[in-house]
Amino acid sequence: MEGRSKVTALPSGRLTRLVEAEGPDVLAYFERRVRPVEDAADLFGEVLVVASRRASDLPSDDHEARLWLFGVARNILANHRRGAHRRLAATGRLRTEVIRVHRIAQAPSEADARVREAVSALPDDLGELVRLVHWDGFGIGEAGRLLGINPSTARGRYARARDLLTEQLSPTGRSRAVG
Amino acid sequence: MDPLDKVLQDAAPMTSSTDEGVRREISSLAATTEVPRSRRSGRRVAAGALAATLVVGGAGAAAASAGWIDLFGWQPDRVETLTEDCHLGFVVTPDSEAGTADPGYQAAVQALRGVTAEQIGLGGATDWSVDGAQAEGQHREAVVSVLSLVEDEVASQGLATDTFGIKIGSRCEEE
Repeated sequence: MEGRSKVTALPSGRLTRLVEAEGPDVLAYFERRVRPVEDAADLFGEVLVVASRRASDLPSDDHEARLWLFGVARNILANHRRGAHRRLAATGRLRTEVIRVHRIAQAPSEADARVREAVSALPDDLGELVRLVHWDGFGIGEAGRLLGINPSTARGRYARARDLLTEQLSPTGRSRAVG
Repeated sequence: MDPLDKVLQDAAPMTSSTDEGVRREISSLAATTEVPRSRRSGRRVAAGALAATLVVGGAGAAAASAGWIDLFGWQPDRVETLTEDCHLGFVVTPDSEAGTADPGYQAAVQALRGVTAEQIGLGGATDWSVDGAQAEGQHREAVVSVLSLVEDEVASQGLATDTFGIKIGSRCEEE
């Protein structure tokens, strides 16, 4: 709180460049996890608010900065799931754009829908690990960091998730799930 | 590529992130992160959504001997002096079953203590000795401002922001 002032000015263009580079992935991260999907735009706006205010914490390394930004996003998503939600005027146009794109999007194939269901059926910690690795493009260790677990634990959980998915998506697993 | 890797990758839900219009909006928003911004604008943005958690109260001309509890039923966590005779009190109230043990509530109390009068937008030509609807409007402005600041700080710590509320009261004493 000490560093806050009425007017917040950032020292450089680093945050802008980071948001331009990683913003689409951060938005996608929210789009894959919230419904209605356009709420992703509001959460994205909240990331910018928090990131702007905490810009002094921005790591100098680009890779670390990406993880830092996703860490902010993850906290905001957690708050959103606890019921906190703000509609930000600044993200109104982004919200409209997100709605427009999803309105014309094709429905997922039956096979893809089945895979998504299988991921959703995993225990929460395993499912999120799979999403971070396969949908958001993080390495297993990076995903573990975002989830607050060490690399060894992340690898173990990831292996467990794959076993469960293999079982669930096999013809036998499918018949078992249906029957 | 492992077959499971491929089916998982192919099943990734479609997103709007590759759309040109969306990218344009993201770039536009990215640029705003470098523009000096007034906390007051953030407050206005937050006002509508947060209004449900607000409680305001006022005592335009309180007896000099009356305390906060006498007037409002609560003791403020933070008192701001507006003028020689007028004071504004803020209190964080727990809204969850965990009560005062809730981490979000505790963080909010700390955050409230760190908020500056400048951030709240106090001072200037505002007359805090008014009563009625005008007083309510002023209180609401101030509490929305404070709640927005406190909520941002609590959220930045990864804690829930729906487990507390903020009450505000003003007392102006007459000779």
